[in-house]
Amino acid sequence: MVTFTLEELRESIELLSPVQMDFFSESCIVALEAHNHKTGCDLTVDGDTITSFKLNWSKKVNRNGYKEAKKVTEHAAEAISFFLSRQLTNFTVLEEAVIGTGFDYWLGYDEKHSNYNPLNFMQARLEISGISKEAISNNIQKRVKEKKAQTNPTDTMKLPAYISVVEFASPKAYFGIK
Amino acid sequence: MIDIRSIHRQAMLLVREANEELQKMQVEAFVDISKKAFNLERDAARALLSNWDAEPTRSVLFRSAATLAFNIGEFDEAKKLVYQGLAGKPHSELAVELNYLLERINEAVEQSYSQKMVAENAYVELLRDKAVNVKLEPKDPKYNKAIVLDYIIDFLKNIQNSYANYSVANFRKTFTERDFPDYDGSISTLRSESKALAVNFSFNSFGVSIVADTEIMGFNEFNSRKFKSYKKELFDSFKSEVLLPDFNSDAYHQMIENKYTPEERQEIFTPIVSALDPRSKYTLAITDRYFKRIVKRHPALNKKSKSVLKPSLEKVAIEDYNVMRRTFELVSPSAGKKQKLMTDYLTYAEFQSGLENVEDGDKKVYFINRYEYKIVWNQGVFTIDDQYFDMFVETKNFNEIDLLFGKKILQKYASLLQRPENELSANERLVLNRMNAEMMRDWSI
Repeated sequence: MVTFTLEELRESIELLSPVQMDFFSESCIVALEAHNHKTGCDLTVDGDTITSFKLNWSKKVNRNGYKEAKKVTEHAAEAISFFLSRQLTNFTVLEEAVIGTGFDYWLGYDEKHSNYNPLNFMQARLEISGISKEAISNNIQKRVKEKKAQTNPTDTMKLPAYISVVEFASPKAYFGIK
Repeated sequence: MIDIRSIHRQAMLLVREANEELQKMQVEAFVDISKKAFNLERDAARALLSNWDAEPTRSVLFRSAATLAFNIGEFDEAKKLVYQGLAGKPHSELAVELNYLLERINEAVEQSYSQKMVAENAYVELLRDKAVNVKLEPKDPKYNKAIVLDYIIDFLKNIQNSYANYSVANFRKTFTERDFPDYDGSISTLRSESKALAVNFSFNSFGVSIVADTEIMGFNEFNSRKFKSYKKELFDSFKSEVLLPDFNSDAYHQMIENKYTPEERQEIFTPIVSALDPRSKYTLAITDRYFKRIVKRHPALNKKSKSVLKPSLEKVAIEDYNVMRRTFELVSPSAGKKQKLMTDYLTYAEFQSGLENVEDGDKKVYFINRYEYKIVWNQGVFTIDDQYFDMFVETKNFNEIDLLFGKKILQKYASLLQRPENELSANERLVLNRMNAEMMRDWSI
C-alpha cells in the first residue's frame, strides 16, 4: 500500500509555496486527529479507481491556529486531493484558479513528464470538497452528484475536470473524472 | 522561446495582490497592480495566438488577459483579447466564460464606464464569486415564465430579514458582554450592517446572486481577532445553514434543533419558510453564476420541516417581546358600525412615519418638507434603517422611536457641522450636504 506522509506535501507540489502546503498538511493532521485517527490510518478511495493509502504524520500541530472547523476541513481536503491527483492521474496541481469560476485548481503535467508541453501546460480542472463527518444530508455521494450536475450533459467539448471529495471521520475519499 | 508558464505565474501572483487591495477598497493600488499583471498575462496569451491546439491553456490565458484589461478600463484591448480567445478552439465552458466577459465589456462601452466604475465593477465581480445564485420560477403558468413583482419583493425582503436575524443570533451565541461592553449597542450596529447584497440579476424568470460583504462589517467599531473570525465565517455559514441545505432531511433538522433555540429558529427561518411552503406561488432553485444550469432545486417543505424551522408562536416561550397582532375592521362611519373581519399574528410589519421638526436640549432643526421613513417591526424590535442620512436606530418601545431617530439625526448634524470639512469621509460629506438641503437649524456655528 502506498503511503502518504502529510509533511512531505511541501516537496511534491513545486508550484505552490511550501508555507501554503505546510498549512494544508497541518490542517489535515488537525482534521484527522479531531476524529481520533492516528498516524498509519488507512484512507479508502472510491471513484475511477478503488484503492487505499496509508496516511502518516509525525508533526505535533498547535491547534490554536486551526479553530475554524470548516476551513480546517476545506484545507485538509486540499492536502489529500493534491496527493490523490499525483497518485491517480498523470497530472500535478499547477495553481489555484484566480480568474474564472466554478472550480478550485488547474492540473497539468509535471515539467519532467514526457507529455509536458510548455505551450499547453494546463490540462484539467480539479474541484475539491471536504466533509468532516458524513450525514444523511451531507455525504460523499451527494457532493459528487451535485458537482456532476453542474456540467451540462449536452456539452460536446467538455473541459476535463476531476472531482475530489474527502471525508475525515472514516477517512475516505472519492476521486474521479467528472 | 519565452517561458509562458512562468510569466503567467507572475501575473497571477500580482492578481492576488491586486484583489487584496480591492477588498480594502484601495482602488488606485488595485488598478496599478492589475496593470502590471495585465502586461504580463497579455504577453503570455499572445505567445499562443496562432497555437490553436494549445487548449485549454490558450483560451484560459486569453480570458484572464481580457479580464485584466477590462478591470483596468482597457475595453478595446479586452474585446480584442476575447475575440482572439474565441477564435481558437475553446472548450465549451471557457467559451461561455469568454462570451459572458464580452457582454460585460459591451455593457461598459455602451454606458461609458469610467475607470472608477470599472474598479467598482471588479469589486462586485469579486463578491459574485462568493454569491449564492438563486432562481425563482412561477408555479402558475398564467404569465408563462414571467414572475410577479410581488413575489420577488417578498422573497428578497425575507432573505434580508433572515440574514440580519441569523447574524444577530450567532453574534449572541459567540460573544458575551465581556467581549463588548456596550453589548446592546454592538448588536444594533451589527444588525444595521448585516446587509445581504444583490450582485447580479437575470430576468428569464428571476435570478439573483446574493452575497454579503462582511469585510466592511463593524469596520470602525470592532477590531478583535474573535470578531474578525466571526464575520469571516458569517456569510458562508448562512449559505450552508439557511440557503443551501436539504431542508427536509432528518440530519439537518437535528443539527438545527441542536444549534438553535425555538426562538432563534423563529427569527432565522420564518422569513424563508413562506418561499418554501407547498402553497408558495414560486419555486426556488440554486443555479450556476450565469443562471443557466440548475445546481439544486429546493423541494417544498414537508410538515416536519416547517415545525422545526418555524415552531408555532404558541410553542415558543416569548418572554422578552410582545406579539404583533393585526386586526382588519370594516368601518361604516355614518352608521357608527364596525365589523371585525379578521385578526392575524405577524412576525414582521412595516409602518410609515415622518418628522417635521426635532429638538434636543438647546438645539432645534426644522425639516423643509416632512421627512418620511419606514419603521420595521421584526421579532419584537422596532427599527429605522435610514440610508439617506446613514442612520440606524432600534428600540422595543414604539412610542419613543420617532423621538430617538430625530434626536440622533440632530446630534449627527451638529457633530458633522463642527468638524473641519477636510476631515470628513466622502460618505459623511454626502450626508452633511443632504442635511443642509433638507433641514434648517436654529443655531449658528
